[in-house]
Amino acid sequence: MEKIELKNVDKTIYREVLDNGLEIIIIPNEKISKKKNYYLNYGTYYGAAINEFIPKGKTKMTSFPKGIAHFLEHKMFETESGETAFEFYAKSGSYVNAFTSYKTTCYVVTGNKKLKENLEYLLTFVNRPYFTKENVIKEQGIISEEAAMNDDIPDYVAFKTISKNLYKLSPYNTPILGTIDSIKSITKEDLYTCYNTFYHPSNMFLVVGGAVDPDEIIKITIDTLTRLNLEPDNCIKVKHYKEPLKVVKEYEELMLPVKTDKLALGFKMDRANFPIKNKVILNLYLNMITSLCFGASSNFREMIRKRHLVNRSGYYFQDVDNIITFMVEADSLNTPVYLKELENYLANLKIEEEDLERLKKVWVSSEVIKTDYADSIVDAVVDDLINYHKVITNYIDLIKNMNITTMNKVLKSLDFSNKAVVKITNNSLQND
Amino acid sequence: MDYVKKELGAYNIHIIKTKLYKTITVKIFFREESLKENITKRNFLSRIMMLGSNDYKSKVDLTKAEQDLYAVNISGTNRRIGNYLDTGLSLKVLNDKYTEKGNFEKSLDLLNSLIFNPKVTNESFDEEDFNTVYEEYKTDLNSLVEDKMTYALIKGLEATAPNNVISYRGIGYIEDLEKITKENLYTYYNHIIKHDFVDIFVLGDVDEEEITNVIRNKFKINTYKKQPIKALVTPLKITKSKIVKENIKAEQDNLVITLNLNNLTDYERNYPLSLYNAILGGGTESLLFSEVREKNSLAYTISSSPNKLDNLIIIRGGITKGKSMEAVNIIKKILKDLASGKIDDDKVNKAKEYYTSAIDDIIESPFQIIESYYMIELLGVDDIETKRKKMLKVTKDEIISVAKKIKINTVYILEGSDNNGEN
Repeated sequence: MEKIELKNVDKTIYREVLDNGLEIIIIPNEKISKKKNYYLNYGTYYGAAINEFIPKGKTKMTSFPKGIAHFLEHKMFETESGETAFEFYAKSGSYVNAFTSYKTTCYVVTGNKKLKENLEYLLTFVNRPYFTKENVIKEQGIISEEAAMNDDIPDYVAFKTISKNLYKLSPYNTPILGTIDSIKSITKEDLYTCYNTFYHPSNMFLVVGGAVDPDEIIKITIDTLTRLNLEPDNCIKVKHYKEPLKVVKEYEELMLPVKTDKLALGFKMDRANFPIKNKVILNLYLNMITSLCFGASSNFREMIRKRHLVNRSGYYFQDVDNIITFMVEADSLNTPVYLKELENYLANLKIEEEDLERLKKVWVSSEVIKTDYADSIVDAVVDDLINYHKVITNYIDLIKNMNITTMNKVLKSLDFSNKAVVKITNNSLQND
Repeated sequence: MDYVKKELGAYNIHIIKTKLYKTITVKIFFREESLKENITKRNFLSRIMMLGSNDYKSKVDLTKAEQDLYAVNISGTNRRIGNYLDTGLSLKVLNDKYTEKGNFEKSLDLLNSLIFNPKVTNESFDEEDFNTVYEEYKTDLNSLVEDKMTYALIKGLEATAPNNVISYRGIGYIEDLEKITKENLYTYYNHIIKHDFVDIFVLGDVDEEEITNVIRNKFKINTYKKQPIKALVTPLKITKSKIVKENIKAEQDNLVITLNLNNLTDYERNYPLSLYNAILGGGTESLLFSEVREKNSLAYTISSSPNKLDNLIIIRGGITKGKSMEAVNIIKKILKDLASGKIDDDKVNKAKEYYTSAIDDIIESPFQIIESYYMIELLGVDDIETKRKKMLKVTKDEIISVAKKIKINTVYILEGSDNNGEN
């Protein structure tokens, strides 16, 4: 077992890769801690953005209904014995859930009793699919309600529409849930095909944190997976998309009974144009730009608040393979003026060195605070695995190394010319 | 974890000494009787106080100051606890051991400034800040209907007992907002500072004497002595249950069912009721989840939660459009079965496990720890270890006798339709 010190935060993590290919990361509490909770996260590198691939044992690239990764996640909770995973975990008052993103599907368990049984069960139910025609039809009803719930949230509709208008080829153009039609077209056979292709140890990870002993975790995992007799499989072939830089549709307006306009904007940029090739470091700089230029300490935010241009707004970078998209979401009180001010501001983004240095100090503090919370560290490690397929152990050094020269280069490489705008409004005349 | 309470007359200091966290957390609670006309003012006040003070003239200045103090985190919350309106203002910051000497005290100064040195001139709040908060708050109140789940809950409670404290809107009222001026807001601010009950909690690796002196010197609160009120709301009168429906353009129905708790003893409210709710709709193992969602595929979300101090249980669900009454009939059967004693021992045991896990979860967060001590202070409930022991001893018969005292008050359905309904 590899032992890795997280620098500057008095924390040790343990890493092991089993013979069958499963990567295990363990972040135990300090010995003296009285906390009893443990956090388990068992994930596969298979999510909503992986919809075209060569199924295991086949040779032809095949496309599957949108939303199938999420559907599969729901169905994993059913077992042949009839007892659902929910029922099992309730016996020890533990929590179980699962999340599907574009890149991964993760199954999580939190509890403070019966660690051994709960870990064994997690490894077992995720490796023992049980799909029937009937339970697939039942799930279509439940997931359709999940989709209906989302469609009743105007912000979600704005996000869904901007994604469709931004991306031509990338699966990011469709919601993780899929569409009502694609959900209804999913079959039991499709589910098994996807399952068999992506749910095996060499394509999965297990992250464990909290009140746990690393040796015990490794032993339980090896014993359980040996019983299940799982094989590695290293030849997954997934379709890659070269997303064009140009947006699909530059402007769209939707009418919904909203009280304020909902805006969603996306600015597509070519990853190749950025001066930093290391994804981890580039993301740090991009997040720093978001915080400094659009966070609570920015003059832009102060201005739009004082002039009552927006009520709420969010800004972030989305990472879509060869494309990096700057996203904006806003509840707008004065759409034409806000859009004009935003455009002016984006054309002249600047960062002062003292502001950069101040926020670096904040980020370092957050890294230290995070180590108090086992769930936060587990989440952070899982995020690293999702984004980089490895754990980043030197964030504090990376943050400390950030500098204004590189920052200026990154700022210079931002290009806001490929833009899509979605506006949801109650009255198409009121603001134009 | 060592806990000490010090009564200083005007307020209490509660010190929870622990090495479990690298941070120090301070939370100051202000509370007063829940009067409907004060809810909006109180929310307004929290919002404006978080924008700055006389020492930090703008939100930008304030944010930069917070960042300079190693990212001290300041936040405010408002809520109703039974008959009380409760405001919590808190700070969380790394212990000086991880930053530099004096950082914690400077952080306290910042919180102190936000609370006791607001941006006020000539007995009135700063006009620009006032207008900013006013516009933002107005938009939030007007947009309420866009969040259909929350909107349904509000309307469901109002359909249950309009004008009763249980249906007061935590978010506030547009008609009350329109009455707020920068002058009368300052009057209300003074009222809070002089009349509210105040409790100050400090959690972290601190020295008891030292922290007491620091707080005493910084927080000069001089509240008048007053009589505490009872937090528990008088139960609603038992009436025939009613069904209220409203129409809205939406893709699904939002269902809210309120259940009256009739004549529960304190013991029943604190113990068997928690288990009853866990069995009914507390999580993915509950009857609501398994019957309404898993067996009948009528919902994605469906759950229940007890508002103990309001003597209510609230069931909420997002139901397939047009099928709410199907769900209601299933729920009625579940309630009837529980009252007639059809409860598996297995379900009772699972509910107890659920509860004891939640107790062990408390130490995972400083705010949860503070909250549990605050509830002891406010409601006189048992401490954590007593709770654990008593909960494990609850019998199935006790749960059944609670089940018999529970009756549907109102079924409220916010029906999704393709047309714009009247709203």
